[in-house]
Amino acid sequence: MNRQDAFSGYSPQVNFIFYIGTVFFTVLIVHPAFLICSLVLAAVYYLQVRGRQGLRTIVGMSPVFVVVSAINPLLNTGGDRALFYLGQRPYTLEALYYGMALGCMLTAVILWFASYNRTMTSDKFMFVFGRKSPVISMILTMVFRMVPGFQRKARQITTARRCIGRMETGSSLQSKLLPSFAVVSALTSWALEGGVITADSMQSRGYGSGKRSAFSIYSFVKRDRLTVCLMILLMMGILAAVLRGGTRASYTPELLVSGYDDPWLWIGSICWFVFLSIPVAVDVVEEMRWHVLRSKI
Amino acid sequence: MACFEIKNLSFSYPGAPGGASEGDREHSGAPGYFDTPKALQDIDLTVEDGEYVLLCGKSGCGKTTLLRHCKTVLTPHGKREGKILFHGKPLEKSDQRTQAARIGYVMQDPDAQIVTDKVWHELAFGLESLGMDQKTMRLRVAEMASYFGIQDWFCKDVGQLSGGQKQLLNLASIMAMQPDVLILDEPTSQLDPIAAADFLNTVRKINLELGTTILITEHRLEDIYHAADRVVVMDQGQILTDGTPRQVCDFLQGREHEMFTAMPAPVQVYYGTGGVAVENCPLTVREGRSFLSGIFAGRDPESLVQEIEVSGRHKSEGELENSPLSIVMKEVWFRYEKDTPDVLRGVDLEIPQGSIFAVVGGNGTGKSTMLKSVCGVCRPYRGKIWIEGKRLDKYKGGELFAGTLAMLPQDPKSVFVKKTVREELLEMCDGRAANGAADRSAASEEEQILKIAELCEIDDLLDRHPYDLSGGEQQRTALAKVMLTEPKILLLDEPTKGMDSFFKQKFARVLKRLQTEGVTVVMVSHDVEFCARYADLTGMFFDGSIVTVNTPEKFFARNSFYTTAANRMSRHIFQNAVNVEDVIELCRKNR
Amino acid sequence: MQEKSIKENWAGRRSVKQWIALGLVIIGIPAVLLLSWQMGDRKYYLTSMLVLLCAVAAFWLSFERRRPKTREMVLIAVMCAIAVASRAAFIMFPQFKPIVGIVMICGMALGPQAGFMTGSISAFVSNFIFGQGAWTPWQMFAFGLAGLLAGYLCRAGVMTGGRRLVTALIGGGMILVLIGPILDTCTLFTMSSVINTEAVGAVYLSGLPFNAVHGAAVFLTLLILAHPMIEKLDRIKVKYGLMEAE
Repeated sequence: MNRQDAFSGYSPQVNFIFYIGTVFFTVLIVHPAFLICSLVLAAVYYLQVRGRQGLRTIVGMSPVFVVVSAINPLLNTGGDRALFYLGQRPYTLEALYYGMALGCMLTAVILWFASYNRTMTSDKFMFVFGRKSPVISMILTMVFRMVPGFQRKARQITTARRCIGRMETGSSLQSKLLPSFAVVSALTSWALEGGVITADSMQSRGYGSGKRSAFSIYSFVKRDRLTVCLMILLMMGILAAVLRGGTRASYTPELLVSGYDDPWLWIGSICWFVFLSIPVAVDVVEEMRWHVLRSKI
Repeated sequence: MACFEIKNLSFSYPGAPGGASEGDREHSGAPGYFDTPKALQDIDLTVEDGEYVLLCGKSGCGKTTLLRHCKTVLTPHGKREGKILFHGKPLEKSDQRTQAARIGYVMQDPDAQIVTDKVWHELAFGLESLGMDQKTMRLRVAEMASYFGIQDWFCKDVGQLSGGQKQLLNLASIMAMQPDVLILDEPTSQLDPIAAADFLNTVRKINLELGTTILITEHRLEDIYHAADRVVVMDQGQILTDGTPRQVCDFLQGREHEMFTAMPAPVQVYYGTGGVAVENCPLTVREGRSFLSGIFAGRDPESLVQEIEVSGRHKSEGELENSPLSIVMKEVWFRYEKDTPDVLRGVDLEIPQGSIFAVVGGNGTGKSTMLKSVCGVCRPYRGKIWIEGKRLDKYKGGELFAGTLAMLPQDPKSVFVKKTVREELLEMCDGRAANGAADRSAASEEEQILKIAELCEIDDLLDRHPYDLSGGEQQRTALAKVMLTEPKILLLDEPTKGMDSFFKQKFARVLKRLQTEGVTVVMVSHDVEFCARYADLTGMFFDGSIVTVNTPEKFFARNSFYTTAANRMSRHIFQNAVNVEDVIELCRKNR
Repeated sequence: MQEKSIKENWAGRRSVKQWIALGLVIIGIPAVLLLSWQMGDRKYYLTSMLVLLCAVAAFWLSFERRRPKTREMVLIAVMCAIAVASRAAFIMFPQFKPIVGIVMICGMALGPQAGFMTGSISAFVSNFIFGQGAWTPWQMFAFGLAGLLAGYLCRAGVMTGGRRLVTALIGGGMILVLIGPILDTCTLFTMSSVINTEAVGAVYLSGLPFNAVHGAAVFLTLLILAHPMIEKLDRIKVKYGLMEAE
C-alpha cells in the first residue's frame, strides 16, 4: 500500500538506535530551536513514510498542540508578564510559551512514534532484542502470532453463538454484555487446548533441549556500520552541548533561553538537525540514485 | 536396518473415574480422566528404513497413542510395558535433541502447531532449537522454501495463510531438520480435499525423492491407500493385520470387518462383484475402470440395464416438488467491503421444506458466505431472502434464531463454553426461560436434554468435558446444542470435516432422524461422497452463484470431475451409478 | 563430565544476568535521578519513564533467569494473547477494556510473577496494535503491577475464584485508586510543566470518570469471568501435568 522507504531497509538496530536517540533528546531538551527542529523533521519523515494520507494525521495534531499550550498557563502561574487574570490567577506569557514548547514536544513525540509504528515492525523489534533474552522474545513472538488468530476466533465464536440465538437475548445492558463474556470464556477454552498442542510442537522440534541460536533475515552491512558511527558521533555532539549548557532553556518564572551568541547552541543544534534528517536524507539520496540510473539507460 | 522396532508394547492411561467410550483421547492426545482397560495391547511392529507405512483404524483405536510413543517428549503419561527400538537402540537412550532432529512429527491441527508469527521464522524454528549457526540455517531454510514452493509467501505473517499452506509450512519446518523418519498423525483431516491431495502428494514425493521413512495415519483412504508400501490396521489397541494394501483388503473382506467399508471404492466394488484373487484387486480409479472394462468387454453399453432402485433412499422428486418452500433466495448479491469484489453474484435458490439440501463447490467460491447471508450475518446489498415464507429483514432481534433457524458452525468448538456436555446443553435451556418464551421446570429441562442427547447419540457422554471428546463426538454435541433451539431449518457448514467414515454414518443417521421430525437441513460441504449418499437435492456452487440443482443421482452422474469415486470408475459403462452399492447392483444385474 | 561443564556454563551466564538485573536497579535508577537533577526543572517524565523501564526490565530479567518450562511459557503467551484479543469480543462497547481484569485472573491462577509478566507483555503487545507511544512504559508497569498484586492477594487468600464479589470489588477498586492514577500520572508528566496542587488535581479529577468506567469493566470481568477462567486454567494444569517436571 505504502512505498517502502529506504531507511526502513537498513538494519533494525540502526532504526532502533535512531528512534531511541530521537525520543530521548526530544523529551530531554526544551530549547525552542531543538523542539521545532524535531517537530518539522518528524512531520517530514512521517509524510515520506505515509505519503499523502499522512497529511491528515499531521493536521489532526494541531488541536493537541493548541490545547496543551493553552492549558499550561492555567496550571502554572509562574512568570510576571500577565496577559489577563482569571479571578485571582494570572495567565502569563511565560507560561504560555512554556505550554507551546510542551505542545511542540508532545506532537513531535507522537509523530515520531507514528512513523516508528510503521518502520519498526514487531519482527524488527524482536530481532533487536531476541538474542538478549530468548525466553521473553519467544513469548513475545508467540503472542504476536496468537493475537490475530484469537481475534479471528473471537469473531467466529460470536457468529456461531449468534446463530444459535445466544448473542442477542434481550435489550438491557446486562443481556448485551453477558454474551460477550461467554465469548471470552469460550475463547479461553479453545486457546488453552491449542496452547498444549503448541507446546508439544515446540518440544517435538527440540525447544528447550539446550543452547538455542537465533535466525534472522536481516544483516548488518557496511552502510549500517557507517550510519551507526555517524549517529553515535552526532549524539556525542548533542550531549556535549547539553552538558555545556548550550541547550539551556527555562520558561517560568523567568524566560531564560540560550541565544545565538552561544557557540554550543550552534554545535548542538547542527548535530541535532543532521541526526534527525538521516532517514529523510537516506531516502532522498536513494531516490536520486534511481533517477540517475534510470536516465543513463 | 529397521528404523523402528516396537516390541510387545502395552500402555494404559492413568485410571480415573468415569466411563470409557468409543473415541477416547485420540484427539486430545493426553492422559484423560477416564479408565480404559488398555489403550495399546501387545503391539509388535517393525518399520524398515525408507518404508511408507499407513496406519489406519476407527477413531479411538489407539493410532495416535501408538504414534506418540515413537517420540519421547510426546509420549503420554501412563503405565507402559514393552520396548521401542530406534535404529536398534532403545528410544529413550537418545536425548531430546537427537530425537528432535531425527524424528519429525506432524500433528493434526495445522494452526496450533505453528509457534512463531512469520513464515521464515517458523521454517527456522527447529534449527534454532538445535543451536545451528546462521550460515547453515540460511542454507537449510532457503532449500526448504524452494523445495516446498513457499518462496512466494516466505515473508508473510502466518495468520494470512490458508489451512493447506499452514500444514505445508509445518511439514517444511520439520523437513528442514532433515529427519530420518516422518510421523504424520491425520495431517489432512482439517484440510479441504484439494489441499489434502496436494499435501499427501508432497509427502509421497519426500518418500520417493529423499528416502525418508513415512509413518502416517489417515481416515481419507482414497488418496493414499495405493501409495503405501504397507498398511497396518489397528482395532481396540491391537494390531489387527499388517501387510501390503491388497493383502489387507483381502483380510478385512474375509473377516467381514467393519473397516472394510472405509476402503477405497474400487476395492469395495471388486469384492462386491465377487473378486477373489488378491493380486488383481484394483486400488485406484484407473485400475477400477479397467477392471470394469474387463468384465463388460465386448458388450455394448447401450444393451446394459441402467436402472437403479433408488426409491426409499431419498425423498422422491414429486414429494419435493409438492412441499412448500423453506428458504427462497432471489437475485442475492453480497460483498464484504464497498470496494472488494462480489462474493455472491445473484444467487437464486429454492429449498423445499423437510429436505436435506447439499451445496457442493470448490474452495473460496462463497458457499459459506451464502449460508451466512441466509442467517442474516452477511446482509446482501441487493436481492431478497424469504425464510419460512417471511422476509428475512422482518425477523427482528434474535427472533430468527428462536425456533426458526440455527447454524452449526464449521468448528464445533466455537459453541462450547462449559465444563461438561450436560452443562453445555443446560446453557441452551436457561436462556429460553429468561426469555419468557417457555416456563419449564428443571425436570422438564432434564427430560428435554436427555431426549436430544439420545437423538444425537451422545447420551453416554453427558458428564464428559467437551474438549475431551473426539471430533465426531464434538460435532454431534454441538448439533445437540443447536437442536435445543428447536429450529425448523438447520444450516451446516462442512459438517463432516475431520470425521472418519464410521462417525459420518452415525452423523448421517442423526440427520435422517431430524428430517423425519420435519427439519429442513441445508449443508455446505466438500465431501462429495457424503452428499451423494445422504442428500435429497444437490446444488453446485460456482463463481458466486448456484449453477445447477438436481437429485444426487442425476447431479453426480452428469459431472465428470466433481463426483464420487464410484461414479468416476464406472461412468464409461453405467450412466447413473453414484455410490459403490449402485455399481455393485448394476454389475450383478448385468451378469 | 561434559554435562557438568554445561551446567557450570549455565551458572556462569546466570550470574551475569543477575548482575545486569541488579546493576539496572542499583545503578540505573540513581543515575537517572542524578541526571534529572543535573538537568534542572521538569524532567519528571524522562526520569519516571526510565525508572519504570528499569523496574519492568528487572522483573523480565528475573523471569528470564528462572528458565521457565516450555508449557509455562506457552501458557503465559496464551493468556497475554487472550487479554489483548478480548477486546474483539466487545466490539459493541469500545470503552469496555477487560484486559486488566484478565491479567488479574492470570495473576490469581498462575502466581504473582506470571501475573506481572502477563500484564506487562499484554500492555506492550496491545500497543503494537493500537500504536506505541510515550505511555507504553507506564502501561506496562501499571498492568504488570495489577497482575502482581492480584497474585499476592490470591496467595494471601483475599482474592480467590470462590469469593466472586469480594474479588471483583478489590479488582475494580484497585483500578480506581491505583492503576488508573498511575496512568494519569503519565498524562500529568507529559502535559504539565509544573507539579502543583492545581495541576495534580486537574489531571486526576479529569481522569476519574475514565478510571470509573475502566474500574467497572474490570469489576464485571472479574465478577463474571474469574471463576470459570480459573477453573479452565486449573483443568489445563491438571490435565497436562503442567506443574509436574517435563
